[in-house]
Amino acid sequence: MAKARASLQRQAEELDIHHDDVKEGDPEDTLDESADPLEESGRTIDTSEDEEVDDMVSEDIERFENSFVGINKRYRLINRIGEGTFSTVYKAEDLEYYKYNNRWDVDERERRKWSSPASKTKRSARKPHYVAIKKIYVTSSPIRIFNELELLFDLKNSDSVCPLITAFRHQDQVVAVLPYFQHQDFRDYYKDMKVSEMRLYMKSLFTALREVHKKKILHRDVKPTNFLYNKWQTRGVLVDFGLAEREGTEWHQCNCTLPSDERRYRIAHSVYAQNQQAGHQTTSYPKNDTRGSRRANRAGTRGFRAPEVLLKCTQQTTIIDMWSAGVILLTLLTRRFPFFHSTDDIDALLEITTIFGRKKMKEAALLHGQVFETNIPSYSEHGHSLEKIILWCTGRTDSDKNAPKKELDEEEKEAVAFLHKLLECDPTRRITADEALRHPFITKAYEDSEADDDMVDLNEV
Amino acid sequence: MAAVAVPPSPQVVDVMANRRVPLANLHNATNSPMRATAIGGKRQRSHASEQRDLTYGQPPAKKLMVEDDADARRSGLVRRSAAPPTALTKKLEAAREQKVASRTTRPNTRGPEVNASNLETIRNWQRHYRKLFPQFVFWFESVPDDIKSKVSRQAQILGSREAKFFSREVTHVITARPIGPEFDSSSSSIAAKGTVNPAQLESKRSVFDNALEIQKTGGGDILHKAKDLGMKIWALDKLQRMLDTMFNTATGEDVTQYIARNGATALQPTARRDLQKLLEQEKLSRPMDRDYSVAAQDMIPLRGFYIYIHDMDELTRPVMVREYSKVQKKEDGKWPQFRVSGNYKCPFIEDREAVRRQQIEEQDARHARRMANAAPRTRAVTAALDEKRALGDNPNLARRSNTTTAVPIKEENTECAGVPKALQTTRDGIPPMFGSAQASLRTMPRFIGGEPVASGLHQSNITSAIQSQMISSTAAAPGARAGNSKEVNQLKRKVLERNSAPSVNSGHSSTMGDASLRAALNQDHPQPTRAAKRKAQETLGQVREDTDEERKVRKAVALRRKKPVEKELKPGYCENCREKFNDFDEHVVSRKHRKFAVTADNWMELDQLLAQLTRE
Repeated sequence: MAKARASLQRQAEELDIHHDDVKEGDPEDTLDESADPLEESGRTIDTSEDEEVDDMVSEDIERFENSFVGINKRYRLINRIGEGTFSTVYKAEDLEYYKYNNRWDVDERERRKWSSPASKTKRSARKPHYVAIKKIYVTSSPIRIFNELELLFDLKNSDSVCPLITAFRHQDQVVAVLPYFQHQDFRDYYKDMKVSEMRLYMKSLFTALREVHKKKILHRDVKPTNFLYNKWQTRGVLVDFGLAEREGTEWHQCNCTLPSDERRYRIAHSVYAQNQQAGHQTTSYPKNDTRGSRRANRAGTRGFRAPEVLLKCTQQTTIIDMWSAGVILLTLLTRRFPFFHSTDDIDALLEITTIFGRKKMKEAALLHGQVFETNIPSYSEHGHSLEKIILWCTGRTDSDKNAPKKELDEEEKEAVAFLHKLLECDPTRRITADEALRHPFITKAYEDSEADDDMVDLNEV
Repeated sequence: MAAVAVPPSPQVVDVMANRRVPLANLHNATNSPMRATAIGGKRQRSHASEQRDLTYGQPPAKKLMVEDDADARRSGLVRRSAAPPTALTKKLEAAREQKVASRTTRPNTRGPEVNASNLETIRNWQRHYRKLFPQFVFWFESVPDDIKSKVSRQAQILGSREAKFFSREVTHVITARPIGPEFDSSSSSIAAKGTVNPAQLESKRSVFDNALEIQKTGGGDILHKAKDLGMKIWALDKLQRMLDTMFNTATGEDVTQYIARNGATALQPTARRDLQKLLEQEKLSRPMDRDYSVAAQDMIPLRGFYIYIHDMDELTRPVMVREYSKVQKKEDGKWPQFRVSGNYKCPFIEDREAVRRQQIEEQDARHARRMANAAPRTRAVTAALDEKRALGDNPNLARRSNTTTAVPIKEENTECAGVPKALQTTRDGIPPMFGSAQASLRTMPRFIGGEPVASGLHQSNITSAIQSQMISSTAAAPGARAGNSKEVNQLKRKVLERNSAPSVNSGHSSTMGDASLRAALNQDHPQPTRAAKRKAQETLGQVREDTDEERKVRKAVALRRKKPVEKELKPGYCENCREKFNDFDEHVVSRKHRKFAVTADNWMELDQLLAQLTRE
């Protein structure tokens, strides 16, 4: 038994070609794995001063302050609030707040709008202002840092995108200063978020994505932790452009961008099609493969990667972010976080297959010139409907055969109809952020929010 | 005895060979115009290659066979498409005619006569020209448009450009006209280098013919102008041959990698390849295409349950291949599938506790209710357990079984039987049983063997604080993934498979390095971070509030944290020094890294941007 397992392991090692394409120390490799979906994003509700600061954290802060000459004159570091893959984020007090123009400070703007002139001067004089300081690891290349900051700079006037206040460098240490945005931890609300709230959440997310996509920028790492949402303000900001890139970066022709008749022709005349015609059945793969591996940027977070990213499409567009947004909505509707486990890209694709079935995956793969073959019995031809998955995930499958069939409520059904458009395996048919904002599921958010505020009654009177 | 001595393997090979059909030859399939037969290297040593060597000795006969072969196949193609001649077949016909015509004038550079020693020469030649090609600017003269676009595209892949107009920037004039001897000197640079010159293999036109041509075109020929300007004049044939040779991957020099590196937006040369070209390719590069035993040896058949995603034109390595062992029940399979899991948790991760809850509920629903009433007590006990676990004691570990239970979501319209009950248990707000939160957490692969990424909670085998610090300063630098050795990856796979969690972390954990791996191998149990604890409590399905229990837990964590800990190495990869390091802190003060840090040149571009980002 143990022996069998050992041989199995050996086999698995041999089989794991997928990872072999990562060459040692190859700077060209573009698989940037972002932090885990469960990665602690730091809960920033609490702005009180008596935050409990871990000993190790204060030690870390101290070291940071010592290494970065002069930073404590401008900012007082308070706590470490987040750790990304390429950076650490600290909460800090902005000591020189009043020296500068603070157009980025939406909270302050809001506050001033609603408060009386008297309280304005009185309160703002005492109130400390917070910022988030992003310490980018010194092992990151200037090019990578440049990329992130340049994109943020480009997006500086975009709604719902976390604006860059400033950035500076001391030798190899680069620091970006961002607004400190109060939000709730996703894990605090995914379990019981109402559909009406989901509309607002998604609307806010799409607003951000529309701005980003308008600039032809792929965020590449859309996930709950990178979308800081404040449900009281029904406002969220998209953060962390560390993996973002401009559309068209390192593109090579992929089948998916061809006109469909041309694509069909190529598929019909592919080596695979010939083999099929010839009645070749056995599936095997070359032992010592000397061919180059297909290369495509697959940066992102496991479980949030779109099928075309997993399939190494060489012409990925901004629409990949919409899939990730779909995964968030799926998470909210099923109340399962993370929804996908996706230890690696293979698992990720198989998990998607679990839902959508072999047929769709085969089509999705062929779109990018890939042949999807599997004989794993768990994956049915047509998969499962999203409705059923949501029912099952929320424990609404019938336990009693006599009981009436459980169904999603009307709002959920609306959500599912919308979800289908986001979790569309064909990127060319997936809904864009702009379209999404015009979709009934999202446009209804306005009405709902008004209803929630009981404003309707007032208006009627 | 002698009779028994017949080895069984050849028979097996034969059987496999017989199953195959000419075009279906997978060995071929894996082959591509950019690849080619693996003439050199391993197979040379195989038994089969001896046969092939024989054939090498008789190139003419071989060539004949290839021709026959192709003809047969061509007719086969026509027969195969039973439909009346469509636009498609006509297209194919046309392509065939054209190709047949062009082939007659083309030497078989990749034919059987290419032997291993030649390979090295070709390889050198390829390397040489790969460097040169990006500097070439071609201008095509009297070249038919269709051929021009094809050739030009191929040349672009190699980094050259096509000049639309004749100008000084042109380095090479490509002409379809025969080239007179007066231009020859400029076009034989390859031969001069002593490498394989495909052009030398063919010189059918007589000098007389050429002279005639020259006379026809007259002295005002642009070729003369080109020559005067010092441009090289190549026959179209020559360029085509060179390109063919460049894309010949039999030598192991893979041009596709070059393409990827250069991010050429050009089409792949083979993108428009159709069956005709495939056949041609077969003819040119597969002298032994009927020798299936050779092919079979190089292919690993997928016998179990597998996922295999590969390029439809077999130009690149498969994107995904993984095989799982066959199991009796599909629920036992290690591949991702919906599994019994508690509410709010990942549906792909099995939750043993959910199964247990389900069983217990089946036995006695009322019992479960009583447990509900005992909720507060349960919670306190949980906290106690938590502390116990913090000390490294793990009473539940032994209970973890290796079996997995998949959720039997049936095909359409079939309800899943037992699952909902388990789910409803949690849904009703009945808190899990004694210590179940922790147990269920452990059941999830992410909590096993100190795999931080899988967990996403940055579990560590030391303390959470150290772990965080590690992440804070090194975290997965992009290169960490790249720098991760294959062995390490495999090691990880092994670890996790032993834990029955078929989860390989694809990248993030690489930063954890050997320490966590070793820990995982030793089945060290990770201690929970605060986040883990909080999550554990959330699992109880109750509203999170800052309770006494939690404070207690925090205190416990703080206590542990105060314990002196040995300095842990933080391995990673530095993008700037382009090297792996064993310890982040050590690396960043290293001479090399410091030198990078203080060299202003490295930061020039970034500083320009930063100047725009100053606070106003």
